[in-house]
Amino acid sequence: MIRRAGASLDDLEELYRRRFDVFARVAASVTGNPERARDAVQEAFATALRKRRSFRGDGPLEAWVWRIVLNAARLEVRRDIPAVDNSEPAANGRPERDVELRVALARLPERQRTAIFLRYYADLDYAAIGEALGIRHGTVAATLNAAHAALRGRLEEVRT
Amino acid sequence: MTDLDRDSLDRVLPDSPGSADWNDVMSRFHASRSGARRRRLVMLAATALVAIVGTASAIGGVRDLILDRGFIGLAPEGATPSAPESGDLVVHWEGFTPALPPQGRAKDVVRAWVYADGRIIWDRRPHHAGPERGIPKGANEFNSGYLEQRLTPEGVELVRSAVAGLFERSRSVLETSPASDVPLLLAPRGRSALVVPEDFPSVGSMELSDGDRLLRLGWHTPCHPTDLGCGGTTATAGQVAALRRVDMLVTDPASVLPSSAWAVRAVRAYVPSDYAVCIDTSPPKHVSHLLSLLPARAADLLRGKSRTRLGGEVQEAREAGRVVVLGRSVRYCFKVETEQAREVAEALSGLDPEPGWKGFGLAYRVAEPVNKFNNPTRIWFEPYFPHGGFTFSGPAG
Repeated sequence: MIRRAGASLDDLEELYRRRFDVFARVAASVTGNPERARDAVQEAFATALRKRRSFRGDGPLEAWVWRIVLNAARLEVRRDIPAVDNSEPAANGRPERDVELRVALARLPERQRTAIFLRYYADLDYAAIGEALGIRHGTVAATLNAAHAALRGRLEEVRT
Repeated sequence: MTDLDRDSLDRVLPDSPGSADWNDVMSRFHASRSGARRRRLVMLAATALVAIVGTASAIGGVRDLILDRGFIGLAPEGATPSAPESGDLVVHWEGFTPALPPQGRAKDVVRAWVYADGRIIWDRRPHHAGPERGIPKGANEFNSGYLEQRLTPEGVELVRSAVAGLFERSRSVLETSPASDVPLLLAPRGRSALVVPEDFPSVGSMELSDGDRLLRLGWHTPCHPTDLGCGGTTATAGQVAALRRVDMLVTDPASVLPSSAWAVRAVRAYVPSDYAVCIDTSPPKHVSHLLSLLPARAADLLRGKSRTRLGGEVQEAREAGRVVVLGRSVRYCFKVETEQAREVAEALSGLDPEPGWKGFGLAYRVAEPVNKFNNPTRIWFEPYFPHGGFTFSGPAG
């Protein structure tokens, strides 16, 4: 396979249209605020357009864009105390368990929480998560393991 | 198992904040590109001007206007901007440090930015207002203004390697963030900081450039467990010694760097090429609403300019380290060239000056707070630094 350096405008637009919702909602888990998350995604794609020639094609374009989106989202909260989302749970599903999970996720360190969303919500593989978070493959596994352990502990704590 | 299926996460994530808008992405992209193109044109014009000045100087005509004192607000007309317009940031330092003699135990706030091209840009101001505090070539009794000196490559490397050595010893407490134009927190507390002995001269934080990210290290003296955000890792003797060395190199380089480290030891004012015109308020409002509060001419000048949005919270510290969030705030900063900044300032001149900013910056009160839990709406000017960032120059900074 020939690796292609640089990303095209069309590729970025297609990715944006197809995955906007996922980018924005995971970014909101970083910013704690959907509006700021949306602004971060918009700015991130503008940045990706500016830097698209620097995309080396070593990994998937989406992973490269995730890194830019997460950096933009972190900028939005750099001077804030990270917010814990205490809003009411969605009416569908299992409200009590959702609240427990939401609180447990909110208490995770940001990297662990983001790794969870990238793996189980955005469906990224370990290599892509590593690229998005700027960490090595082995660190991705360790981060997810630590997140699982912390979540298990907190959820069991709540339920006993 | 921990319920980590997509449906569960879908329910706990915040709702989508609206629909996709590719046109908005493209307009942000074009705005930043046109800004970059304009900067390149300005650079070409500046190069041409330098050539003209050089020639004229040779026959005793036009001379650069170099300011040997700091200034507050916008640069005096005709002042020669720092060159080159852009530069790569190597080290950024902010902290409380002992006032210069003869001020005893008083502390000043010192901020410094060291660039790969040798520039060291800094300011110094007393933490407590008072009479003249030994600030070199100060703009007033509160503030030195932003000043500039130049190091040789050897000087830059001395500073960089001292900081890098300290960071290498402190990897477990480093934070990373993308290189950005957001001011860093002064004197951070929390787990990711070194706790230095009570008699250590400074409290603060610094950043070291590492490719497209910044490594950050904070330090503070021991705190009471109930203090806001109290925490941290007790510094080892080696870390304390390394930090002490860096502190001296950055806050008082003239006394510790050898002559071979200096390209231009003489102090001059830092004159930017661009300014950020910042407006903030709480609770948050859309930028179009805030622009509508300004005199029409000022709003026209700012509308459509490249801008940065910063979110924040209005907080109040309570007993036992509790923090109460009273509300949210927002800050928009528009990037303008110096001449445009002058036009904006002229358009704003009918507004009342922002109370408390005298001696710190050019700022105006736009609107009063709607209640005691909110901040007023105000607008002010910040110089852009060579790395494309700006800071907060107000009295609380």
